[in-house]
Amino acid sequence: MIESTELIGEFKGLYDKVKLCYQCGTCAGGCPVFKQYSRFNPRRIMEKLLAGEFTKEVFEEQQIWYCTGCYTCSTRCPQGIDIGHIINEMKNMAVKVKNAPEGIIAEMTAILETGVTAGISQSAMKRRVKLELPELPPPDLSEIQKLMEVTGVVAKLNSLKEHAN
Amino acid sequence: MKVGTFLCNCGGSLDNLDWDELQSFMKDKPGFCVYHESLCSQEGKNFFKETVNREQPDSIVFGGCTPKTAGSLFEDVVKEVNMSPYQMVGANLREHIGWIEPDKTLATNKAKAVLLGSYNKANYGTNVEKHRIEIQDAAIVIGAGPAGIQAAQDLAEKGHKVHLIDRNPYIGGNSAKMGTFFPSEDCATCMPSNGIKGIDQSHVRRCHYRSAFDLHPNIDLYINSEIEDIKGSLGNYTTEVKVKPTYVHMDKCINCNLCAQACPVENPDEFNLGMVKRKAMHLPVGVSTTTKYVVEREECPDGCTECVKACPVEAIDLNMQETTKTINAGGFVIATGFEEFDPRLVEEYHYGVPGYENVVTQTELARLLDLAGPTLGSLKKKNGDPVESIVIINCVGSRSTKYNIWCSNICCMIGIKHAIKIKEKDPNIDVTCCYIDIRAVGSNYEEFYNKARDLGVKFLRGRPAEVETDGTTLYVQAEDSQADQFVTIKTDIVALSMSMVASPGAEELAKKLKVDISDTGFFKALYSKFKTTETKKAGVFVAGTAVAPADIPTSLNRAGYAASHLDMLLSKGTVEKKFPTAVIDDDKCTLCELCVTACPFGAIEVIPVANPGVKMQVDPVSCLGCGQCVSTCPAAAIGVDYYSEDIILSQLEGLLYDAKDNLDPLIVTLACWECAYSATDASGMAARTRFGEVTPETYDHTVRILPVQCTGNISARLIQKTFAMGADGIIVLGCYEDKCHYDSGSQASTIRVALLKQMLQFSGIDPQRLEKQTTFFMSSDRFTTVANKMAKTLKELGKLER
Repeated sequence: MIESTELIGEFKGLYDKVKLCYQCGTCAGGCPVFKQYSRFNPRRIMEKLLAGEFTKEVFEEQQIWYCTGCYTCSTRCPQGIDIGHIINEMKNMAVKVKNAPEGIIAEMTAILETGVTAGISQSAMKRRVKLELPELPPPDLSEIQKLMEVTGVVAKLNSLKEHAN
Repeated sequence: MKVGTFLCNCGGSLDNLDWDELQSFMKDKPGFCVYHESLCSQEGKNFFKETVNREQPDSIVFGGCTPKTAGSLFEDVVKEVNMSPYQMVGANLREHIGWIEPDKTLATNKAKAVLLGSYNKANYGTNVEKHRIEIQDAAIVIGAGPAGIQAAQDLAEKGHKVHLIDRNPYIGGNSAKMGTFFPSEDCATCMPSNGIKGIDQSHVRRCHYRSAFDLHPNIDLYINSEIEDIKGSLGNYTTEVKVKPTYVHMDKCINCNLCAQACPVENPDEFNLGMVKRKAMHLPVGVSTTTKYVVEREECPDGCTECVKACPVEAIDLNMQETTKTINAGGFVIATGFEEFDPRLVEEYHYGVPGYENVVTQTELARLLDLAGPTLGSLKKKNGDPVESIVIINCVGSRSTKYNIWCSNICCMIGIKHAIKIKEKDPNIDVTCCYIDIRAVGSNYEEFYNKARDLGVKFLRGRPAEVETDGTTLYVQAEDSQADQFVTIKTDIVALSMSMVASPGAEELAKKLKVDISDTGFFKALYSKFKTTETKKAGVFVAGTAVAPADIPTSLNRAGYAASHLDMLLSKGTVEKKFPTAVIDDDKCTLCELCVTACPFGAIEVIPVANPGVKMQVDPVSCLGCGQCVSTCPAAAIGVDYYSEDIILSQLEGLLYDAKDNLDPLIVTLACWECAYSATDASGMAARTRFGEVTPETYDHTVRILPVQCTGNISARLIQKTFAMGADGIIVLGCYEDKCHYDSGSQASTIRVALLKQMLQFSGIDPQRLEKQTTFFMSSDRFTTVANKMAKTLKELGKLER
């Protein structure tokens, strides 16, 4: 794990974005993940940011990765706090300190190797034929890989894998 | 011009000045100079009067304590010798010199400069023209809600003619719709001011249920009326009011309902949520003490006169016409109140969306709980089905950077009031109140909150994220943030506690009255701490929720406060304006009209004249003499009495008399006469207590202070000339931008100084030689910090090369 001081500036930036939060719970009340899984609570994540206890979320725990990025919280927040974006930024920080769940690493690897996170199932293929839908072109793997290369995703994936081993 | 100079040693506290040298310095100048150990003692005051009576000077220089003190100490004495306070010019030898500077030579030299500056100003002639303003003994109160009625009754009882105007065909405003009020839980229309024909001396709260219209005989009521136009200023306003017909003579109508029974036209009753029908002839706010019958004329069938025939008291006149009334008055009380924020804008609660008919506002819920409402007081769904549960959602549109930033003050309590009402009627109805924080800040409010909990009202801490429906039932989705749990509440009705926003038309009315609207959309009070019901336009007051969200007690208090202040004005008959006024030199004026926009008080008007077609004219009543027009005028055509550019320049000439010979760089502080000048005095007072020590309150002897009315008065021209006359650095010392005593003067000067600093750089002058600082009496260190910093910088930069 790298020294946390690297990220202190970024955490300060996040605090400034969340400081108007008064913990009303609108984000949690509308969160599709929280409805099913009460351990992921966007309000609690904002609370930790407010209290300055955010490092644990990034360095040790992996709750933030449950966020599906639907941005309902951002749309609903009465104080206009872009909660979805803040959680995304925390995910980026977590990747910097190489703290990402196995599932995420597997998803990234799948996109790099096959172009999709999950391939189309056999039954779906059959339904397409029945519905007389055209054949799906295969993803342009070279383009996807090039994109991931130049945007730095490949490098990040490699470092995550290295850390996992 | 004969100038008499009085020097005072302040009882010996200014012994570090060389008084002999000062006297001989001033003796050279035309006029006379006298010295006294303590002029404000009785003996000193007699000496002052005798000297003035003997020498008969045209103006006086007072060298001693700050003019802020001297002005009030000598106010009576100056009056006794038949002079105006503006004929006495202060030279602050105490707070600005004697108490700051321990070195006798330096202090005496600075005192010479300050004395000479004041002498030059006095020698220029400084008297201020007085203006007498006749005040018409009548008031216009706009808005006949609780605050408007209270203000009108108070003013009427004080003996003033009051014109009470409301655009609704009924009085009572929002209270007429609310049924009951918290925390007294009684009739919303039960006000101390209603229907008492004068203030009730019996000291007993009496029920006047049918007499809300029995206003004081001094009050003329105009319902269904709107303000068309307002002209004039303090004391003399002419207002045109459009009075639309209600087709019923209010003074005759006895609310017997025979007309409505005879009326053949039926339509949905919007006031009762469209759940029941009403006639074209109806009571606009249901059974209320604040309304008489009104005809919706456009709904009448051609030639129908059923109501007229039915009326037993001949109160109906279907040919009533719209009229325009011209009303003259000395002042206004604005009591235009509030309206509920549009609930459709908070989309996740689906108000107004088909299928969500049972999502209502608190005002609508009040109808559902009103005995005279569509459900006869028992809570029912819109389709008439019984109700098992209700969810109240607080803070809808309030406390939000997306909608309205403010807390609307009463919504928590309205929600609790309705919750209690529901529970008291039927304890089996499940009531849940969703909140962020419960703000129960008034007298007895917390007890009221406790009462709701005693009755079994559930309080859920969490602002719901969404209201959904399956067609028959509503589902409120929220986080119970005390349990960290997601909850879905199944309910029949959802009541939204909507934010309070300014009444529609507030902005338009503000334009007509030439007053400001604040960022919140409500009327802007003159100041946030006191003068909370005054506006920047003299004689125009604001009360109730027109100025900010408030509960009934606060609204009524504001109304009484506004009425009492307007009463003080109206009772005077005439007032004398004794402070400076802007004067426009028509020969220099280029008719650019910049001054018209620069004046925050709307005191300058473009008026037609034969040649050259128009001219700029200052209304001396509205002008407060701040000089924001002066600094804006590109033709230097405007001056303000007592602080004109010529007067300031002559004073500067004295203040910088030694600029050529003095080896130290000199700093001129142009200080606003209000907070900023007081701050310079405050540093002197603070330094006095620790004399001889270097304290944060002392500042360099090279800093010389000159008062102006407002920093908004300081033009680029004046800054340039001050440098030309020998200043090596200039501090523009103003009040905090948001606390400027003249609305926007300090703000304008901050912008001007920032631009000037850039221009200085172009002309090769170090921009550090010009600074703007803001301060007030209790934060004098803000002045001394910038003064000492500049003194240090200038010692490095040296004198300005000319």
